[in-house]
Amino acid sequence: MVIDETRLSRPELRASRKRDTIVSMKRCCPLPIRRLHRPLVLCGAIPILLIAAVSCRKASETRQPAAAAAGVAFPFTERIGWFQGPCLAISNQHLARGTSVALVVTGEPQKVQQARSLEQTTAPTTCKALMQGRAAINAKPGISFYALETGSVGSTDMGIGLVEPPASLAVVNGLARVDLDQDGQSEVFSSCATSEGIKFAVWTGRAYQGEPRWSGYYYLGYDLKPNCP
Amino acid sequence: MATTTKSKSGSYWVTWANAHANGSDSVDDLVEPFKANARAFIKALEDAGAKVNVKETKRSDKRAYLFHWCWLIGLGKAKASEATDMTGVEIEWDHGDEEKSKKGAKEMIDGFGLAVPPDSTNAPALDSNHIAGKAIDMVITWKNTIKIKKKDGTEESVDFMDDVNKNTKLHAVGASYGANKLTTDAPHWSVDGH
Repeated sequence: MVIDETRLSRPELRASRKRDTIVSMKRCCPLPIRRLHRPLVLCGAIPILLIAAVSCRKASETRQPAAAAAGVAFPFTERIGWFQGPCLAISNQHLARGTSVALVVTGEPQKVQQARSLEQTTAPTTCKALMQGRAAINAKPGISFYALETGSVGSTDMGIGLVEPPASLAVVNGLARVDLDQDGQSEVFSSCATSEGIKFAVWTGRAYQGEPRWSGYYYLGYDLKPNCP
Repeated sequence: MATTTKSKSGSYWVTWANAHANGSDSVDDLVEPFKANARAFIKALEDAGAKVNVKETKRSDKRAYLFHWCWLIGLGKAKASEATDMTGVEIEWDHGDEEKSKKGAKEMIDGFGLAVPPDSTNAPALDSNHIAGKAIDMVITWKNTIKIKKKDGTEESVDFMDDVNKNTKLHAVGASYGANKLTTDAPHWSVDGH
């Protein structure tokens, strides 16, 4: 069995977790640190902080399996969109510049690339979905288009963009997967051609057979031979 | 004997197509009886209070021809020498060098904004209901519920749904006029649902 596994590096996520840890420490270890004098900080506070950090880490670790079993709400609609080249279409008007976006290029095999959101755009040169003849259908109310800093993603590549996914994406046997809602079951990705566009979808379990979780439609405005199951 | 000079494939043909081979958004360019059927359906919708925004009716066969062959050649799925001719489109696909032919076709893929659907080996189609004048793309909107007259004169109460593909009551009204919904592509109605 061939396994091609690609892990994304996620420094932002690690930073976020670090912030969460600090908040957790403040909550579960409310020591009066600021009242300590400097010598005490140097001689006594550091060991105390280390012990506190370890004990809080243990508490955090013991909570994680329970959280995973219960599942974590993941706003699929606001955090998932579709992309073509350097353009992301998503039902989210508040994506900050520099937000991390994991791109699942839905070719065969699927690939995972890292990108960052830039500004909202209506430029058809950036977003082919906004070319004349397509814009009126693709720019539905509530859909925003963002330019992306994509690195090695080609101008004709297309697929599904995940805004700050809660876990790293892996590519196993040519298919990208990630447990978005942390319920122990992976989400997978699909795209297929309709008669006039592309349908993108996210599923729990297997594509076209599992539970549909999200879908998006890109109207191309010309005729294709459909290949959707 | 008249001779025609062919122009090599490349971005020139994008400009040419945008000037000479555009699609139409007029119901008048559809063919009968679909033209009359579509017009009657649109009238019933508007009489009921819906807003109908027609986006595309008849598509250009010349544009489809350019889309088809530039996609195949540019992606290396066909050789330039395999391309067929089309009357009225004096394009030279074969530059005498495979890489140059491919480059010219790629310029057109990019200029037309053609998608390269993942896993697709199918080029943009040469034939379709749109090209034949038997399909219409339109956005239909209204608020809450309206009563739309079917062709037989009976009225149907239809709720607005964001996903028109799921609005089976609306599909039934359209079908009564001979405008059949394709449920994969939101704006598309045609003579046979394809």
